[in-house]
Order: sequence, then structure tokens, then C-alpha cells
Amino acid sequence: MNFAEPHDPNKKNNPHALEILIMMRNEGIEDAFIDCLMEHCQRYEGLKDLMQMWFEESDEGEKELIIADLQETLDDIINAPKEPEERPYLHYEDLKSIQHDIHDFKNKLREEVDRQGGITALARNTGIPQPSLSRFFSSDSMPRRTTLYKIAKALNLPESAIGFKWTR
Amino acid sequence: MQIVITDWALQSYIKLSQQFTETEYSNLLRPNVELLSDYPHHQKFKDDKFWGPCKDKGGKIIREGYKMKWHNIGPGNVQLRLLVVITDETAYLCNAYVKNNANKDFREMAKLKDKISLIKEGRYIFRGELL
Repeated sequence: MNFAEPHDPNKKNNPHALEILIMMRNEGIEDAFIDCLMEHCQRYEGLKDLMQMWFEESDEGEKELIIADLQETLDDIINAPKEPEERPYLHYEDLKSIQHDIHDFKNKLREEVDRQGGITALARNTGIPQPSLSRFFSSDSMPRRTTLYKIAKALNLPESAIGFKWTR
Repeated sequence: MQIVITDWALQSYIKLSQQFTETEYSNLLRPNVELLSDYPHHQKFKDDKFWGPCKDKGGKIIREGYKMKWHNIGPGNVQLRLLVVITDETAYLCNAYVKNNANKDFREMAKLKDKISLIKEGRYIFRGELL
């Protein structure tokens, strides 16, 4: 794979994207995530910025937040429609109850995850990094259908177990 | 100026709705966002405590990216930020977040760069218009 910028080996604080990806692999970050990052990081400057931040960061907690943001951006890119896609408007008055529904749904799913070995096992089986899964379960934003399918496959759950009306 | 609610803004709203009160939403946040219909003429857009260009970690201005800022919001007195992309006479409401440290801001700036690319390619989800 070709990368956009020529690598200067003297610039120790500004490594080539490929070197950062190798470091991520050496730290045990899921292969599927790294492959996806490799595919898109040439084209999207924000991904490259986040990768550089990950490289410069020494705090493990901050590094995990960066990984979760990288996954979020990859999800945005991969799931983006080909042209503007109009989806129904949601009424302001309904948003609180939607938030509660999402919260309850994710809590139930999390219980199933814990029964089947927890987040670490789920990360291994889905290829989604652990910090992203932790954010998925702690956030009240609508789950992506693609993420739910990966989780269902990893946990061997039927469609009915992940059928949820507030997905995106 | 047309104000587009993207799916990113909607998801942020659902995620953050416990950070502010309904009164703050009705009397402050929403009216402030509606000012975008009069962008850049309204005086509030000259107040750098309320509005400003986005900059990445290296201090470089992110073209077409802006921040709307609110201070001491909700029971937690949080610093709330809404990222807005302005291009082709349209304001696209994107991520909103609580700024709890500088690193959070830098990460959001990086993510915004790619949202700008997607918006300019027409690859976004439209959830309605404000007003």
C-alpha cells in the first residue's frame, strides 16, 4: 500500500502511518480495525491526526479514547451514504423516551455479553477494539445496525435478539 | 442561511440531553443555534466567547469548521460545544460534546476534518432543518 507522504526517518516524532499501524498491532489492537484504518487513513486527514495523537500519547486511558474515536470515524466513513440520505425527523418531545429505550436495550445486551465472557472476548470475536465497545455500551446514542450484526454474530444471537427500532 | 440537522447532531443531542435543562434548551441553546440563519451578520458571531473557527492540534484553522460555545451549562456546569460546518450557504450541525479537557477538543477537531470531507462529498444523513 502506498502512503501519501514520503517518510523521513529522521523525524522520530512524526512517524510514517504504516509505522503507527505496526505499533498498534504490536500493542494487541484488533487486526480487523488496523486493516480498516490502513485502507482509509491515506484519504482522511482526521484519521491521520488521530493516529499521530495516539503515537504521541503516553497515558493509556487517553490512548483508549483515541482508539474509540478512530473507530467512530471509520464507522462514519464506511457507513456514509453515497449521496445525502434523508431520514425521518424526530420530535423533540420524543427524544427523552428514545434515550431511555436505547439505554435499556444496551443494558440488556451488555448482560448477554457479560454472560459470554465479557467485553474482552467480544472485542476478540468482533474485531472491534475494546475501548470502542466500552463506549458503545456506555453511550446513549443509537447503535449502528452494522455493529449490532457483528455483536450478534460473535454471541451467536438470533436477529430477534438484536431487533431494535432505534438503530442507524 | 439554511440550517441542516445531520445525524451526527441528532445522536449528540440524544447522548448529551442530560447535560442541560429543558429551560436551557428552549431559552438559550436552540435560540443561539437559530442565529445561524442570520450568519455572519448577527453580533453574536463577533463574540469569540460564543463563536470561533476550529483549529487542529497544530493550531491550523480548519476551513469551513466552526464552534459554538456555551459555558457553565446544566447541573454539572459543563462547557458545551457544537461543531458547525458552513459551506455553500448552508450550516450543517455536526457533533456536540462536553469539553472537559484540551485533548477532547483536539480529538473532536480531527473527527470534524473527516466530517467536512463527507459533507462536501454529499455523504451525510439529513435529519431535518432548523426553523
